[in-house]
Amino acid sequence: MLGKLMRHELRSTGRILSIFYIVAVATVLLQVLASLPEQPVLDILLTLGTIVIIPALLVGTLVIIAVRYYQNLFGREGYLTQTLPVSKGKVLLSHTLLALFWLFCSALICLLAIVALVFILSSASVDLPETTEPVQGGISDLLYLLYQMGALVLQAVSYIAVIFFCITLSNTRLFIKNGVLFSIVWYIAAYTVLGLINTLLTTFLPVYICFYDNAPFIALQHIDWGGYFSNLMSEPPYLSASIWGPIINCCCIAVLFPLINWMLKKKTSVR
Amino acid sequence: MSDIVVTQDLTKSYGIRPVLQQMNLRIPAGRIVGLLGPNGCGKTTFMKILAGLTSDYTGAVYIDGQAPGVYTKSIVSYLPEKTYLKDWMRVRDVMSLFADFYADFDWNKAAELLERFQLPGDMKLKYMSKGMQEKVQLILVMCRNAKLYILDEPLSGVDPAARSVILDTIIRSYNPGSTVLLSTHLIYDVERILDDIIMMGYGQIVMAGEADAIRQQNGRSIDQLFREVFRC
Repeated sequence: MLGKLMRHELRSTGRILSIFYIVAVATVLLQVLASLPEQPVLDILLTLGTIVIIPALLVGTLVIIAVRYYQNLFGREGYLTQTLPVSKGKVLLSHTLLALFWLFCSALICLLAIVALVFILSSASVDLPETTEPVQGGISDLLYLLYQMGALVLQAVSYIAVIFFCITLSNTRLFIKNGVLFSIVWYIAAYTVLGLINTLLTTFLPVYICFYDNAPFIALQHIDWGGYFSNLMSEPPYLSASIWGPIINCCCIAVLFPLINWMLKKKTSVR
Repeated sequence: MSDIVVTQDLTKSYGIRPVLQQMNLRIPAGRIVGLLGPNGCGKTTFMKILAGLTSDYTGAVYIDGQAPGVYTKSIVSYLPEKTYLKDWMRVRDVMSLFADFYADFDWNKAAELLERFQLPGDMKLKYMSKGMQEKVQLILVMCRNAKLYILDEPLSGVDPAARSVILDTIIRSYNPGSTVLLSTHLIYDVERILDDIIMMGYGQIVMAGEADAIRQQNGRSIDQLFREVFRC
Protein backbone atom coordinates (compact mmCIF):
# COMPACT_ATOMS: atom_id res chain seq x y z
CA MET A 1 0.00 0.00 0.00
CA LEU A 2 2.92 2.36 0.77
CA GLY A 3 4.27 1.91 -2.74
CA LYS A 4 0.86 2.62 -4.26
CA LEU A 5 0.43 5.75 -2.16
CA MET A 6 3.86 6.99 -3.20
CA ARG A 7 3.25 6.21 -6.85
CA HIS A 8 0.02 8.17 -6.96
CA GLU A 9 1.42 11.08 -4.96
CA LEU A 10 4.59 11.11 -7.09
CA ARG A 11 2.35 11.63 -10.08
CA SER A 12 0.53 14.52 -8.41
CA THR A 13 3.66 16.34 -7.22
CA GLY A 14 5.72 15.41 -10.28
CA ARG A 15 3.31 17.28 -12.54
CA ILE A 16 4.19 20.54 -10.82
CA LEU A 17 7.79 20.07 -9.68
CA SER A 18 9.10 18.51 -12.87
CA ILE A 19 8.23 21.73 -14.74
CA PHE A 20 10.27 23.74 -12.20
CA TYR A 21 13.20 21.37 -12.51
CA ILE A 22 13.17 21.31 -16.29
CA VAL A 23 13.13 25.13 -16.38
CA ALA A 24 15.94 25.25 -13.80
CA VAL A 25 18.18 22.76 -15.63
CA ALA A 26 17.50 24.47 -18.97
CA THR A 27 18.42 27.87 -17.48
CA VAL A 28 21.68 26.52 -16.07
CA LEU A 29 22.65 24.76 -19.31
CA LEU A 30 21.76 27.79 -21.43
CA GLN A 31 23.79 29.94 -19.07
CA VAL A 32 26.84 27.76 -19.53
CA LEU A 33 26.41 27.76 -23.30
CA ALA A 34 25.80 31.53 -23.40
CA SER A 35 29.03 32.21 -21.53
CA LEU A 36 31.22 30.47 -24.12
CA PRO A 37 30.92 32.92 -26.99
CA GLU A 38 30.73 36.57 -25.92
CA GLN A 39 27.09 37.48 -25.35
CA PRO A 40 27.14 39.79 -22.34
CA VAL A 41 23.44 40.68 -22.07
CA LEU A 42 22.19 37.12 -22.36
CA ASP A 43 25.08 36.02 -20.14
CA ILE A 44 24.08 38.47 -17.37
CA LEU A 45 20.38 37.58 -17.58
CA LEU A 46 21.05 33.89 -17.43
CA THR A 47 23.61 34.31 -14.62
CA LEU A 48 21.02 36.19 -12.58
CA GLY A 49 18.52 33.46 -13.42
CA THR A 50 20.94 30.80 -12.19
CA ILE A 51 21.57 32.71 -8.96
CA VAL A 52 17.83 33.08 -8.34
CA ILE A 53 17.17 29.42 -9.13
CA ILE A 54 19.13 28.11 -6.16
CA PRO A 55 17.00 29.55 -3.33
CA ALA A 56 13.80 29.58 -5.43
CA LEU A 57 14.05 25.87 -6.14
CA LEU A 58 14.59 24.90 -2.51
CA VAL A 59 11.88 27.22 -1.19
CA GLY A 60 9.52 26.30 -4.02
CA THR A 61 9.99 22.58 -3.34
CA LEU A 62 9.22 23.03 0.35
CA VAL A 63 6.14 25.12 -0.45
CA ILE A 64 4.80 22.54 -2.88
CA ILE A 65 5.50 19.72 -0.41
CA ALA A 66 3.52 21.63 2.23
CA VAL A 67 0.66 22.49 -0.12
CA ARG A 68 0.36 18.91 -1.36
CA TYR A 69 0.35 17.55 2.21
CA TYR A 70 -2.48 19.90 3.12
CA GLN A 71 -4.51 19.28 -0.06
CA ASN A 72 -4.07 15.53 0.07
CA LEU A 73 -5.06 15.15 3.72
CA PHE A 74 -7.28 18.07 4.66
CA GLY A 75 -8.53 19.57 1.39
CA ARG A 76 -11.00 18.13 -1.08
CA GLU A 77 -8.68 15.21 -1.86
CA GLY A 78 -8.76 14.33 1.83
CA TYR A 79 -12.19 12.80 1.25
CA LEU A 80 -10.43 10.19 -0.87
CA THR A 81 -7.09 9.85 0.97
CA GLN A 82 -8.61 9.54 4.42
CA THR A 83 -11.12 6.91 3.32
CA LEU A 84 -8.54 4.66 1.67
CA PRO A 85 -7.94 1.41 3.60
CA VAL A 86 -4.45 2.55 4.61
CA SER A 87 -3.15 3.52 8.04
CA LYS A 88 -2.50 7.20 8.75
CA GLY A 89 1.09 6.25 9.52
CA LYS A 90 1.61 4.97 5.98
CA VAL A 91 0.04 8.11 4.48
CA LEU A 92 2.41 10.23 6.59
CA LEU A 93 5.40 8.05 5.67
CA SER A 94 4.59 8.26 1.94
CA HIS A 95 4.49 12.06 2.09
CA THR A 96 7.74 12.17 4.10
CA LEU A 97 9.65 9.87 1.74
CA LEU A 98 8.45 11.76 -1.31
CA ALA A 99 9.33 15.08 0.29
CA LEU A 100 12.87 13.79 0.89
CA PHE A 101 13.05 12.61 -2.70
CA TRP A 102 12.04 16.00 -4.08
CA LEU A 103 14.39 17.85 -1.71
CA PHE A 104 17.21 15.59 -2.90
CA CYS A 105 16.34 16.37 -6.54
CA SER A 106 16.26 20.10 -5.89
CA ALA A 107 19.59 19.89 -4.01
CA LEU A 108 21.15 18.11 -7.02
CA ILE A 109 19.96 20.83 -9.37
CA CYS A 110 21.22 23.52 -7.00
CA LEU A 111 24.60 21.78 -6.95
CA LEU A 112 24.56 21.76 -10.76
CA ALA A 113 23.81 25.49 -10.74
CA ILE A 114 26.67 26.17 -8.31
CA VAL A 115 29.11 24.09 -10.37
CA ALA A 116 28.00 25.96 -13.48
CA LEU A 117 28.55 29.31 -11.79
CA VAL A 118 32.01 28.28 -10.58
CA PHE A 119 32.86 27.06 -14.10
CA ILE A 120 31.73 30.33 -15.67
CA LEU A 121 33.46 32.53 -13.13
CA SER A 122 36.73 30.60 -13.34
CA SER A 123 36.67 30.70 -17.16
CA ALA A 124 36.12 34.45 -16.89
CA SER A 125 39.31 34.58 -14.79
CA VAL A 126 37.43 35.90 -11.75
CA ASP A 127 39.23 35.37 -8.42
CA LEU A 128 37.16 32.98 -6.37
CA PRO A 129 37.41 32.96 -2.55
CA GLU A 130 39.60 30.13 -1.27
CA THR A 131 37.61 27.12 -0.24
CA THR A 132 38.30 25.56 3.11
CA GLU A 133 41.41 23.47 2.77
CA PRO A 134 41.76 20.23 4.67
CA VAL A 135 43.81 20.62 7.80
CA GLN A 136 45.11 17.13 7.90
CA GLY A 137 43.90 15.47 4.73
CA GLY A 138 42.98 11.81 4.53
CA ILE A 139 40.18 10.03 6.28
CA SER A 140 39.33 12.82 8.73
CA ASP A 141 38.13 14.96 5.80
CA LEU A 142 35.95 12.11 4.62
CA LEU A 143 34.51 11.57 8.10
CA TYR A 144 33.83 15.29 8.41
CA LEU A 145 32.08 15.29 5.04
CA LEU A 146 30.00 12.23 5.98
CA TYR A 147 29.06 13.86 9.27
CA GLN A 148 27.96 17.05 7.53
CA MET A 149 25.98 15.11 4.95
CA GLY A 150 24.26 13.12 7.69
CA ALA A 151 23.52 16.35 9.53
CA LEU A 152 22.05 17.78 6.32
CA VAL A 153 19.76 14.78 5.85
CA LEU A 154 18.62 15.06 9.48
CA GLN A 155 17.99 18.77 8.92
CA ALA A 156 15.87 18.02 5.85
CA VAL A 157 13.80 15.39 7.69
CA SER A 158 13.40 17.78 10.61
CA TYR A 159 12.17 20.56 8.26
CA ILE A 160 9.59 18.17 6.86
CA ALA A 161 8.52 17.09 10.35
CA VAL A 162 8.01 20.68 11.47
CA ILE A 163 6.07 21.62 8.31
CA PHE A 164 3.78 18.60 8.57
CA PHE A 165 3.31 19.15 12.31
CA CYS A 166 2.29 22.78 11.83
CA ILE A 167 -0.20 21.95 9.07
CA THR A 168 -1.68 19.05 11.06
CA LEU A 169 -1.92 21.13 14.24
CA SER A 170 -3.79 23.89 12.43
CA ASN A 171 -6.37 21.30 11.34
CA THR A 172 -7.17 20.08 14.84
CA ARG A 173 -10.44 21.07 16.49
CA LEU A 174 -8.76 23.79 18.59
CA PHE A 175 -7.28 25.65 15.66
CA ILE A 176 -9.30 24.69 12.59
CA LYS A 177 -11.34 27.91 12.80
CA ASN A 178 -8.20 30.01 12.35
CA GLY A 179 -7.73 29.01 8.74
CA VAL A 180 -5.00 27.30 6.81
CA LEU A 181 -2.54 30.19 6.95
CA PHE A 182 -2.36 29.79 10.71
CA SER A 183 0.01 26.92 10.02
CA ILE A 184 2.53 29.55 8.85
CA VAL A 185 2.25 31.22 12.26
CA TRP A 186 2.98 27.86 13.89
CA TYR A 187 5.93 27.34 11.55
CA ILE A 188 7.48 30.68 12.42
CA ALA A 189 6.92 30.03 16.12
CA ALA A 190 8.43 26.54 15.90
CA TYR A 191 11.55 27.71 14.11
CA THR A 192 12.00 30.64 16.43
CA VAL A 193 11.94 28.29 19.42
CA LEU A 194 14.24 25.73 17.80
CA GLY A 195 16.66 28.42 16.66
CA LEU A 196 16.73 29.91 20.16
CA ILE A 197 17.42 26.51 21.74
CA ASN A 198 20.22 25.84 19.25
CA THR A 199 21.80 29.25 19.83
CA LEU A 200 21.65 28.97 23.60
CA LEU A 201 23.13 25.47 23.62
CA THR A 202 25.87 26.31 21.11
CA THR A 203 26.76 29.48 23.04
CA PHE A 204 26.65 28.25 26.63
CA LEU A 205 27.51 24.61 26.11
CA PRO A 206 29.73 24.61 23.02
CA VAL A 207 30.25 20.89 22.49
CA TYR A 208 31.86 19.99 19.19
CA ILE A 209 32.69 16.82 17.36
CA CYS A 210 36.25 17.17 16.10
CA PHE A 211 37.89 15.20 13.30
CA TYR A 212 41.57 14.99 14.10
CA ASP A 213 44.23 12.37 13.50
CA ASN A 214 41.81 10.09 11.60
CA ALA A 215 39.43 9.64 14.52
CA PRO A 216 36.52 11.81 15.62
CA PHE A 217 36.20 12.88 19.23
CA ILE A 218 33.93 15.12 21.27
CA ALA A 219 35.40 18.30 22.70
CA LEU A 220 34.01 21.02 24.89
CA GLN A 221 35.37 24.26 23.59
CA HIS A 222 36.76 26.44 26.32
CA ILE A 223 34.94 29.76 26.82
CA ASP A 224 37.14 32.59 28.03
CA TRP A 225 34.50 35.12 29.13
CA GLY A 226 37.09 37.85 29.12
CA GLY A 227 37.87 37.23 25.47
CA TYR A 228 34.41 35.86 24.61
CA PHE A 229 34.04 37.37 21.18
CA SER A 230 37.56 36.64 20.04
CA ASN A 231 37.04 33.05 21.17
CA LEU A 232 33.94 32.74 19.05
CA MET A 233 35.79 34.06 16.04
CA SER A 234 38.76 31.74 16.32
CA GLU A 235 38.64 28.37 14.66
CA PRO A 236 40.05 25.29 16.36
CA PRO A 237 43.04 23.82 14.53
CA TYR A 238 41.06 20.84 13.24
CA LEU A 239 37.77 20.14 11.46
CA SER A 240 34.88 20.43 13.91
CA ALA A 241 31.14 20.86 13.98
CA SER A 242 28.66 21.53 16.77
CA ILE A 243 26.71 18.46 17.84
CA TRP A 244 23.62 20.42 18.91
CA GLY A 245 22.11 20.86 15.45
CA PRO A 246 21.88 17.13 14.69
CA ILE A 247 20.75 16.36 18.28
CA ILE A 248 17.95 18.94 18.12
CA ASN A 249 16.91 17.62 14.70
CA CYS A 250 16.86 14.02 16.00
CA CYS A 251 14.68 15.11 18.93
CA CYS A 252 12.35 16.95 16.55
CA ILE A 253 11.98 13.88 14.36
CA ALA A 254 11.52 11.50 17.32
CA VAL A 255 8.85 13.69 18.93
CA LEU A 256 7.00 15.23 16.00
CA PHE A 257 6.33 12.27 13.72
CA PRO A 258 4.59 10.16 16.42
CA LEU A 259 2.69 13.29 17.48
CA ILE A 260 1.56 13.96 13.89
CA ASN A 261 0.46 10.32 13.55
CA TRP A 262 -1.55 10.55 16.78
CA MET A 263 -3.19 13.83 15.73
CA LEU A 264 -4.11 12.37 12.32
CA LYS A 265 -5.72 9.35 14.03
CA LYS A 266 -7.55 11.14 16.83
CA LYS A 267 -7.75 14.88 16.46
CA THR A 268 -8.20 16.03 12.88
CA SER A 269 -10.97 16.14 10.29
CA VAL A 270 -11.20 16.99 6.65
CA ARG A 271 -12.37 20.59 6.18
CA MET B 1 -30.21 -10.16 11.11
CA SER B 2 -26.91 -8.67 12.38
CA ASP B 3 -26.31 -4.95 12.64
CA ILE B 4 -23.70 -3.45 10.34
CA VAL B 5 -23.55 -0.16 12.27
CA VAL B 6 -23.87 0.29 16.02
CA THR B 7 -23.37 3.58 17.85
CA GLN B 8 -23.34 4.09 21.61
CA ASP B 9 -23.71 7.58 23.09
CA LEU B 10 -22.14 9.10 19.98
CA THR B 11 -21.50 12.80 20.61
CA LYS B 12 -19.82 15.35 18.40
CA SER B 13 -19.60 19.13 18.72
CA TYR B 14 -18.17 21.88 16.58
CA GLY B 15 -16.97 24.37 19.15
CA ILE B 16 -19.81 24.89 21.62
CA ARG B 17 -22.44 23.76 19.12
CA PRO B 18 -23.47 20.12 19.63
CA VAL B 19 -24.14 18.35 16.32
CA LEU B 20 -24.67 14.80 17.53
CA GLN B 21 -25.96 14.26 21.04
CA GLN B 22 -25.71 10.85 22.70
CA MET B 23 -26.83 9.05 19.57
CA ASN B 24 -27.68 5.37 20.04
CA LEU B 25 -28.41 3.65 16.79
CA ARG B 26 -28.40 0.24 15.13
CA ILE B 27 -28.47 -0.15 11.36
CA PRO B 28 -29.20 -3.70 10.18
CA ALA B 29 -27.29 -5.35 7.35
CA GLY B 30 -28.83 -5.85 3.90
CA ARG B 31 -31.15 -2.82 3.95
CA ILE B 32 -31.48 0.46 2.07
CA VAL B 33 -31.69 3.08 4.79
CA GLY B 34 -32.66 6.71 4.28
CA LEU B 35 -30.99 9.20 6.60
CA LEU B 36 -33.35 12.16 6.58
CA GLY B 37 -33.23 15.50 8.34
CA PRO B 38 -33.12 19.27 7.84
CA ASN B 39 -29.92 21.17 7.04
CA GLY B 40 -27.42 21.20 9.88
CA CYS B 41 -28.95 18.31 11.79
CA GLY B 42 -25.80 16.21 11.70
CA LYS B 43 -26.35 13.80 8.79
CA THR B 44 -23.06 14.59 7.04
CA THR B 45 -21.16 14.60 10.33
CA PHE B 46 -22.54 11.17 11.17
CA MET B 47 -21.63 9.85 7.74
CA LYS B 48 -18.10 11.28 7.97
CA ILE B 49 -17.62 9.52 11.32
CA LEU B 50 -18.71 6.21 9.79
CA ALA B 51 -16.43 6.77 6.79
CA GLY B 52 -13.45 7.43 9.07
CA LEU B 53 -13.03 11.06 8.05
CA THR B 54 -13.73 12.45 11.52
CA SER B 55 -12.08 10.86 14.52
CA ASP B 56 -12.66 13.62 17.04
CA TYR B 57 -15.83 12.45 18.78
CA THR B 58 -16.88 10.76 22.02
CA GLY B 59 -18.85 7.58 22.40
CA ALA B 60 -18.48 4.36 20.46
CA VAL B 61 -18.98 3.54 16.81
CA TYR B 62 -18.78 0.01 15.40
CA ILE B 63 -18.95 -0.99 11.77
CA ASP B 64 -19.17 -4.75 11.32
CA GLY B 65 -18.06 -5.02 14.93
CA GLN B 66 -14.95 -2.84 14.59
CA ALA B 67 -14.17 0.80 15.36
CA PRO B 68 -13.50 2.99 12.28
CA GLY B 69 -10.04 2.19 10.96
CA VAL B 70 -8.22 0.42 8.16
CA TYR B 71 -10.55 -2.62 8.17
CA THR B 72 -13.78 -0.59 8.15
CA LYS B 73 -12.47 1.60 5.32
CA SER B 74 -11.93 -1.56 3.27
CA ILE B 75 -15.62 -2.54 3.67
CA VAL B 76 -17.20 0.93 3.49
CA SER B 77 -17.76 2.68 0.17
CA TYR B 78 -18.29 6.38 0.75
CA LEU B 79 -19.66 9.01 -1.62
CA PRO B 80 -19.27 12.51 -0.19
CA GLU B 81 -21.42 15.45 -1.15
CA LYS B 82 -18.55 17.22 -2.88
CA THR B 83 -16.35 16.04 -5.73
CA TYR B 84 -12.99 14.92 -4.41
CA LEU B 85 -11.22 13.60 -7.45
CA LYS B 86 -8.20 15.41 -8.89
CA ASP B 87 -9.50 17.25 -11.90
CA TRP B 88 -6.38 16.66 -14.00
CA MET B 89 -6.99 12.91 -13.89
CA ARG B 90 -8.77 11.03 -16.62
CA VAL B 91 -11.67 8.74 -15.81
CA ARG B 92 -9.60 5.61 -16.38
CA ASP B 93 -6.84 7.01 -14.09
CA VAL B 94 -9.39 7.21 -11.30
CA MET B 95 -10.58 3.68 -12.09
CA SER B 96 -6.95 2.52 -11.80
CA LEU B 97 -6.64 4.30 -8.46
CA PHE B 98 -9.76 2.58 -7.13
CA ALA B 99 -8.59 -0.80 -8.47
CA ASP B 100 -5.20 -0.23 -6.81
CA PHE B 101 -6.51 0.45 -3.34
CA TYR B 102 -9.77 -1.47 -3.17
CA ALA B 103 -9.58 -5.23 -3.64
CA ASP B 104 -13.40 -5.35 -4.04
CA PHE B 105 -13.52 -2.89 -6.97
CA ASP B 106 -15.26 -4.38 -10.02
CA TRP B 107 -13.51 -2.90 -13.06
CA ASN B 108 -15.81 -4.50 -15.66
CA LYS B 109 -18.96 -3.29 -13.94
CA ALA B 110 -17.53 0.23 -13.72
CA ALA B 111 -16.53 0.25 -17.39
CA GLU B 112 -20.02 -0.96 -18.36
CA LEU B 113 -21.77 1.71 -16.31
CA LEU B 114 -19.49 4.46 -17.59
CA GLU B 115 -20.34 3.42 -21.13
CA ARG B 116 -24.06 3.36 -20.33
CA PHE B 117 -23.84 6.91 -18.97
CA GLN B 118 -21.72 7.95 -21.96
CA LEU B 119 -18.80 9.05 -19.82
CA PRO B 120 -15.59 8.66 -21.88
CA GLY B 121 -12.73 6.90 -20.09
CA ASP B 122 -10.03 9.08 -21.59
CA MET B 123 -11.68 12.40 -20.74
CA LYS B 124 -10.13 14.57 -18.03
CA LEU B 125 -12.43 15.35 -15.12
CA LYS B 126 -11.81 19.09 -15.46
CA TYR B 127 -13.53 19.04 -18.83
CA MET B 128 -16.65 17.40 -17.39
CA SER B 129 -19.65 19.22 -15.95
CA LYS B 130 -20.37 18.94 -12.22
CA GLY B 131 -23.16 16.47 -12.93
CA MET B 132 -20.88 14.28 -15.02
CA GLN B 133 -18.19 14.31 -12.30
CA GLU B 134 -20.77 13.31 -9.70
CA LYS B 135 -21.92 10.43 -11.90
CA VAL B 136 -18.32 9.24 -12.29
CA GLN B 137 -17.88 9.30 -8.51
CA LEU B 138 -21.16 7.51 -7.93
CA ILE B 139 -20.30 4.78 -10.42
CA LEU B 140 -16.88 4.21 -8.88
CA VAL B 141 -18.36 4.01 -5.37
CA MET B 142 -21.20 1.66 -6.37
CA CYS B 143 -18.87 -0.66 -8.30
CA ARG B 144 -17.20 -1.81 -5.13
CA ASN B 145 -18.55 -4.94 -3.43
CA ALA B 146 -18.66 -3.18 -0.08
CA LYS B 147 -20.62 -4.18 3.02
CA LEU B 148 -21.76 -0.62 3.66
CA TYR B 149 -22.37 2.08 1.08
CA ILE B 150 -22.61 5.61 2.48
CA LEU B 151 -24.03 8.08 -0.02
CA ASP B 152 -24.24 11.70 1.10
CA GLU B 153 -26.77 13.57 -1.01
CA PRO B 154 -26.18 11.56 -4.20
CA LEU B 155 -29.02 13.39 -6.00
CA SER B 156 -28.08 16.98 -5.24
CA GLY B 157 -27.30 19.07 -8.28
CA VAL B 158 -28.73 16.41 -10.60
CA ASP B 159 -31.60 17.08 -12.99
CA PRO B 160 -34.93 15.23 -12.36
CA ALA B 161 -34.49 12.91 -15.35
CA ALA B 162 -31.07 11.78 -14.15
CA ARG B 163 -32.31 11.24 -10.59
CA SER B 164 -34.38 8.18 -11.54
CA VAL B 165 -31.48 6.78 -13.51
CA ILE B 166 -29.13 7.27 -10.56
CA LEU B 167 -31.56 5.66 -8.12
CA ASP B 168 -31.98 2.70 -10.45
CA THR B 169 -28.19 2.48 -10.76
CA ILE B 170 -27.87 2.41 -6.96
CA ILE B 171 -30.38 -0.41 -6.66
CA ARG B 172 -28.95 -2.44 -9.50
CA SER B 173 -25.28 -1.93 -8.68
CA TYR B 174 -25.08 -2.48 -4.98
CA ASN B 175 -24.31 -5.84 -3.42
CA PRO B 176 -27.70 -7.23 -2.24
CA GLY B 177 -26.31 -8.46 1.09
CA SER B 178 -24.92 -4.98 1.82
CA THR B 179 -26.42 -1.93 3.44
CA VAL B 180 -26.93 1.39 1.69
CA LEU B 181 -27.13 4.45 3.93
CA LEU B 182 -28.33 7.36 1.85
CA SER B 183 -28.97 10.93 2.93
CA THR B 184 -31.15 13.26 0.93
CA HIS B 185 -33.58 16.17 1.02
CA LEU B 186 -35.41 14.81 -2.02
CA ILE B 187 -37.47 12.38 0.04
CA TYR B 188 -40.29 12.18 -2.51
CA ASP B 189 -37.90 10.83 -5.16
CA VAL B 190 -36.12 8.42 -2.87
CA GLU B 191 -38.95 7.09 -0.73
CA ARG B 192 -39.88 4.27 -3.08
CA ILE B 193 -36.50 2.52 -2.68
CA LEU B 194 -36.10 2.84 1.08
CA ASP B 195 -36.47 -0.17 3.37
CA ASP B 196 -35.81 1.77 6.59
CA ILE B 197 -35.64 5.42 7.56
CA ILE B 198 -33.77 7.33 10.24
CA MET B 199 -35.09 10.82 10.80
CA MET B 200 -32.63 13.11 12.55
CA GLY B 201 -33.23 16.46 14.13
CA TYR B 202 -30.85 18.66 16.10
CA GLY B 203 -28.31 15.93 16.68
CA GLN B 204 -30.79 13.33 17.85
CA ILE B 205 -32.91 10.61 16.34
CA VAL B 206 -36.50 11.74 16.03
CA MET B 207 -37.85 8.63 14.36
CA ALA B 208 -36.42 5.35 13.09
CA GLY B 209 -37.88 2.14 11.70
CA GLU B 210 -39.19 0.31 8.66
CA ALA B 211 -40.47 2.71 6.01
CA ASP B 212 -43.62 0.65 5.28
CA ALA B 213 -44.49 0.35 8.97
CA ILE B 214 -44.06 4.09 9.51
CA ARG B 215 -46.24 4.90 6.49
CA GLN B 216 -48.96 2.50 7.70
CA GLN B 217 -48.81 3.72 11.28
CA ASN B 218 -49.07 7.39 10.36
CA GLY B 219 -51.28 7.07 7.33
CA ARG B 220 -49.10 9.30 5.19
CA SER B 221 -45.94 9.21 3.12
CA ILE B 222 -42.49 9.72 4.60
CA ASP B 223 -42.22 13.00 2.68
CA GLN B 224 -45.45 14.32 4.25
CA LEU B 225 -44.37 13.12 7.68
CA PHE B 226 -41.00 14.86 7.31
CA ARG B 227 -42.67 18.13 6.39
CA GLU B 228 -44.93 17.89 9.45
CA VAL B 229 -42.13 17.01 11.89
CA PHE B 230 -39.79 19.74 10.67
CA ARG B 231 -42.34 22.39 9.84
CA CYS B 232 -40.83 25.91 10.22
